[in-house]
Amino acid sequence: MAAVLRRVLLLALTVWCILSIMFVLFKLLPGDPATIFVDNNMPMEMIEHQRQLWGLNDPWWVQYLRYIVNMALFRFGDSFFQNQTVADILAEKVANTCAMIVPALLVSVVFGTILGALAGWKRGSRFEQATVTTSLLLHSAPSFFMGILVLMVFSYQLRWLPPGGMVSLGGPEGFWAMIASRDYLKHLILPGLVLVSREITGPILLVRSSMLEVKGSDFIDILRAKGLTERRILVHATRNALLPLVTYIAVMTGLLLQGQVLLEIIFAWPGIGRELVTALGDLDYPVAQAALYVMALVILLLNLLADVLYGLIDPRSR
Amino acid sequence: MTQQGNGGPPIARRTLLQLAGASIGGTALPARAADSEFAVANAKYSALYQRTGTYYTKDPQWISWTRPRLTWPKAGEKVPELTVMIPSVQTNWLDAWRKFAADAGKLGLKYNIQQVSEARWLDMINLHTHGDVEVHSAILRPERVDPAEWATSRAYGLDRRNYGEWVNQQYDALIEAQVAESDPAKRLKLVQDAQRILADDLYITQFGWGPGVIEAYNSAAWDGVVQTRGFGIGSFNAFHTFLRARPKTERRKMIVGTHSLLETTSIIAAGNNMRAIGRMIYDRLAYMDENLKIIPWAAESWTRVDDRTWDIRLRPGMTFHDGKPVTIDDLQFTFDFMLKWERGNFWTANQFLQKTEVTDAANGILRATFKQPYGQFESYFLQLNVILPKHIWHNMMAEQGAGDDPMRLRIDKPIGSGPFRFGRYRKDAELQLIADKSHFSKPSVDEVWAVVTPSIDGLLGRLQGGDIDLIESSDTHLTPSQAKQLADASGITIVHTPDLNWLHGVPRPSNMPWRDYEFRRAWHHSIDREFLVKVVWEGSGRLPAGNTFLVEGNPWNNPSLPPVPPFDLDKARDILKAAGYSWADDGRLVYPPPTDAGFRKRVQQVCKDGYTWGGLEMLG
Repeated sequence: MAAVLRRVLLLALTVWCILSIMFVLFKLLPGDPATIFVDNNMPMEMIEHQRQLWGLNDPWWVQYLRYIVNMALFRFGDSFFQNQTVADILAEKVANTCAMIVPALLVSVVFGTILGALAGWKRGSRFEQATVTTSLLLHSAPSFFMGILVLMVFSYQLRWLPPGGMVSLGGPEGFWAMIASRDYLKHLILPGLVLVSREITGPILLVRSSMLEVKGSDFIDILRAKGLTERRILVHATRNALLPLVTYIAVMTGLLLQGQVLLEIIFAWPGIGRELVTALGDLDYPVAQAALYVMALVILLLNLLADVLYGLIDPRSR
Repeated sequence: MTQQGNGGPPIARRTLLQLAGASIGGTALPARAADSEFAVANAKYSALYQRTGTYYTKDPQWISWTRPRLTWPKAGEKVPELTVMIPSVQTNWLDAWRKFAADAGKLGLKYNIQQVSEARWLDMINLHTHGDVEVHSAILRPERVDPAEWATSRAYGLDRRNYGEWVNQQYDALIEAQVAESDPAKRLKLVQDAQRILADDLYITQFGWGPGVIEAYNSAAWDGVVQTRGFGIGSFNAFHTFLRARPKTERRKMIVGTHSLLETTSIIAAGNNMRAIGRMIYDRLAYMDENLKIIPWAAESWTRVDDRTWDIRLRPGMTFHDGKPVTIDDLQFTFDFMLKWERGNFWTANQFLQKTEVTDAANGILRATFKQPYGQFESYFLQLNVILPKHIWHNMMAEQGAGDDPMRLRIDKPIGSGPFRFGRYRKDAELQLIADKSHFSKPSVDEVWAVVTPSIDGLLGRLQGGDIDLIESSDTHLTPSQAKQLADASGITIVHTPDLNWLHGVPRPSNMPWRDYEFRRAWHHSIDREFLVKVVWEGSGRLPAGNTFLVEGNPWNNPSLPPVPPFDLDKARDILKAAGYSWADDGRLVYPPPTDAGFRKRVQQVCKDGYTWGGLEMLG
């Protein structure tokens, strides 16, 4: 319990550091949002007025305190440009991104684990060689390249699958209605395929090497001596080889959440990555800051969860 | 005595001086602010440099840039490195500038070309800390056909967007006169004379007119697309295609791929893209036809009462999309709302409006009175303003607790009286516009869908695959190679529309070395415009016929401007030599000696002989 508490305190300190670094970075960002926001035809005085409205002319420490308090209380304010609260924008965009990454993550972990376990178990076989080579190839292929490739083949040429978006024009309204529809699944196939093709390689390679270690353990010999079938031994071995995957999944989920900018652009998927890039380009500080903060929080929380879970699963690490 | 350019009719010198006197209000006097080391030749222009906040003379960065450039060069001093900032997304500009820099190197000029983020670039040009040459391209919108948009903003001495701080008093007098000239013919003459001075004094240089408006559409499904000059077929800013295109198949739903995001449904808070769509939902008062001629829209007609006053007659029989009739009260309410609250998009349109009154409610006539004689009534005021439904908006500010900021209003389901009703909307994904078949200009299509596709490859792929019918072209045109690639696809037709675009550079005549007219003249000869048009733009564009913002095809163009100085490095070298410049051992260009009286005179005068400089003066 004390260890968990220590980790939570460490997490709070890390969050404060991240917020402070973000504040400095945003202050150092080139450009003045007021000059972008205010119509070019308007006089300079209007830009000045807008800066005052946004509190950009206040002393830096006033801006810093206001920012820290607001972030701590999850009061993200309104977007500079979108006529909407930041919380609403983020909720919608994070949900959209999750609608892309969660299925891909599940498929990657389940099938990656199976393939990795088999590859490790069948050390030296053609299956292992093919799995490792393919994994390395897929891992090295940039996702934007894969994205464009599958679009060209399956959408533009063969016309089997839709070219982008989350649903077809006039598709179901509302998030849950949308993801419960077949139309959404159809739209998910291509971005999901690209994501899985890359993300599955992590579990494969990780579980394979973990399996190689487990395979040489004494308990495998004991299981064999007990007369268990190869399949049962494989299941036991795989359970032991899964430990490193717990941490990996936590980190992978965090990275997936923030790292799909290019896929979201290629597949016209209105997610958080695209939103962040647009907000940074437009100098929409409230949206960009809140998006980065949420992403950082998710990664930290998932890491915390991984630490706690690891402790529960493997008593040696306590 | 006349001031004459290299061609075209002369401008009466007396007229120029009269205009200058009238607008400037007296003899030009040196002006030096108490807290500033900088002085301007005419006190009128000190206002620009003494702005509130931290701009110009209150901006240390501006000062550190400007001070050395207003200091007389010492004997043997080299012409400094010339800084050009280019937004990193503008790769075409960079390609052109690499060639310009290589050519200028042969004249002993050294460029420092910096690629910066778009936000930083915008910030730097707004603060006038962008270096030596401000590079800019035109993005056409209906109101930008009006000459004031560019001729004023980019070259008028008191406008902050005059990034080179060029202050030619005769030009400014003409600009002030044209804004206040309500007779279109007289205004045209003033605008054309102003263009003559702009070209004559070698302020801006047009690198190229273009790139051309090249678009593609699904001709297997649609017929009767309308090409609007400068805009093309697929721009929401010129939506004739969406009104008149006829379906060839049973599908009466036109699908438009758009590169821009659909960020908000409030026309008050909208950016360019949604503002254009907003004007398909809310009727504007006047519009333009495909030849850019102003045509009545929600305003059936208008009558000029005097220089400051117009009577606007509302088109009878219009209804809002909720079925309520559009009345003259709605129009008056809209102006009242804008005057009381608006500090955003509509501020520009109404900045000169003083008051409105309903003079004949039965016949739907409203009288608009302006603060001063007003020359932009049709091309600006009527083009930009829309009609808001009073029954929905009249108490909205208080109801929504928007304070005094209409940008905070949430308009989730806009209701206007335009040719399209607002349908389904998924932010940053899709928007449905449903044709209002009772509109006076009823669309032939049943629906228009805007679908966000953030990458150009995605747009091309979707067009080729038949998922979209055309590409929204306000900020996305095809290159010739993209068009060629699409031309091979069946059912796709490529359309070329005469463009009004340009890419230009604005040097900084207020600073050295640009203050020397002869230097500017030589520099103009160092620009290889043909390279830009033929190589960078792949032939999609025109060699500029004159150094003007109002290019050939714009109704306000002056067809008899002096020709753009051709690319000729030998001539540039001869001009520099004759003007007293020399070359150092390392090949770099060296200023004329400080004792050179001709050089000193040119630097102090800045403008070409015959014109009067009103801007920054040299230090010491």
